[in-house]
Amino acid sequence: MIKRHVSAAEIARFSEGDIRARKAARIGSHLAGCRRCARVREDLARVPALLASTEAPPMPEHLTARIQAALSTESARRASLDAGPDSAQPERRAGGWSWPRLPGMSARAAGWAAAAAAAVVVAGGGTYLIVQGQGGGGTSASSAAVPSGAAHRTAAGANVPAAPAVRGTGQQLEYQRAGKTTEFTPVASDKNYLPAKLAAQVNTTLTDHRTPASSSPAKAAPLATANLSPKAGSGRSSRIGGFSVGALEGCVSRVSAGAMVLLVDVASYQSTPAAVIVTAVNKQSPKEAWVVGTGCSASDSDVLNRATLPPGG
Amino acid sequence: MQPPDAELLRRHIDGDPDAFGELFLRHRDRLWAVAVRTLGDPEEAADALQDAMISAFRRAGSFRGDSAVTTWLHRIVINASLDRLRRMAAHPVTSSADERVLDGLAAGRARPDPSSATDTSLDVTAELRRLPHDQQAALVLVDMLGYPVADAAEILGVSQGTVKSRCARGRARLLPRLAHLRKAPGEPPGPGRARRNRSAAENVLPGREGGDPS
Repeated sequence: MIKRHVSAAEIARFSEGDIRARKAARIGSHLAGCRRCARVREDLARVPALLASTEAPPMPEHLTARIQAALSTESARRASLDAGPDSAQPERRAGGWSWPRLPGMSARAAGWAAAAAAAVVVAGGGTYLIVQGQGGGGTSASSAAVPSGAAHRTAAGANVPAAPAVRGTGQQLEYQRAGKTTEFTPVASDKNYLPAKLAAQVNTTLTDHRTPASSSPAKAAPLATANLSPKAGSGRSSRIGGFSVGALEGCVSRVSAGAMVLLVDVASYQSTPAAVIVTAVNKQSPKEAWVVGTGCSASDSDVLNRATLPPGG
Repeated sequence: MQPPDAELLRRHIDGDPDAFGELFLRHRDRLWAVAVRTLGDPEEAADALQDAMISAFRRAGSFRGDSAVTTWLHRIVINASLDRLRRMAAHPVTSSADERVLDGLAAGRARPDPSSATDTSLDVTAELRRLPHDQQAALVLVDMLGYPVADAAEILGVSQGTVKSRCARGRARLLPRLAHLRKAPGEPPGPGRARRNRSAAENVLPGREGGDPS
């Protein structure tokens, strides 16, 4: 019998037959005569049962729904890519996310659009301005950065590429798209969205926030300079409407699930605080409007309603 | 009669927009268990599972059929989970993650629902995540979820001997950390048990390969 005790690792490997025969024979004879090591072996044998006895929490339904939605989005994307060579192929850009290059849009314009992600989202043949809004209702903490009541309908500008990423104003937020950080600026339309009129109301909001088709991106004004307040960076805990900024960012990442975000409107749904997030996989695909409650975050979609809007338009 | 997995996958590759979603629903419980057991956090697990499903969706065409569809899905899920685990280790806690936790609490949603897990399973999961990732993955599949060693080997893409070895080393590392949780059947509570637990914790050091001189 070996005088030296055997380590737990060796005993465990011995039990699994993961030790060479000669050494295994020595360990076996030691175990036969050593109570202490035999006890370690017994304890080791109980570890699998202990591991098996732990309960795995069941998959929450909302997480299942979220993944199903992501797969649906993926299906729609695939269908539109298969539709033809003119479909908007995502264009990889260093340091940014993929912007679909729309027909008639120059590579330079596409690049510009990527740089101006904070101000403009392109979809459906038009240019949507995501209007930075204080609105009347609900925004409070973020007014530290932007004068209260100021609703800047930004026209995007040629010098936008110089605009730094401004975190912390409570206005210019970020979401994750295909693993990249992308910016968006929520609006606050103050609307009370209703189930029966959802699609129509969302379309109106989209129309209200779209520039005339003739407005070329190059003419647009820079991101509201009001955003570049000295308080930038200090307001990560601020709220927009009933949403905390962090939760809203996570929520938009979650709900968009890789699609483009065309609009984030922090407003109401059936008279309770809610946000409407409009996404589209690309120009050809239908737009989807998601109504989310204030519980929406990176971990919980809290989708209250959903509507599909016709593509383009 | 439900179509077999391989048939669903073929339909998906052929352009059926719903086939892959059906495949996901069919196996989501087991895939979820792998992800949540590996990551210990439902939110991270859902992210990993979503990454994995999107990846599998896109890569379906490269599935060669030399393993079962479920094995292939499991492999993608466990790899996505381990990737996420590595990223979590590299960036332990970001402020936005903190914020999300606080948001969750403020909204009355405690993130990991304490009522859904016993203290034991929380502890075990936490200890498990301190193991080297290859050992952890092996233990999740074999000990926690009860996969045969052969299946685990196929999922992990290693030999059965390697799976056994990883399981053995992982159990040995866990042992002293789980000593306080171990239910010793038939052993009376009190000093006797406490002494025995202490001796296990003191004498069986994790990762000690050489053995103690007596």
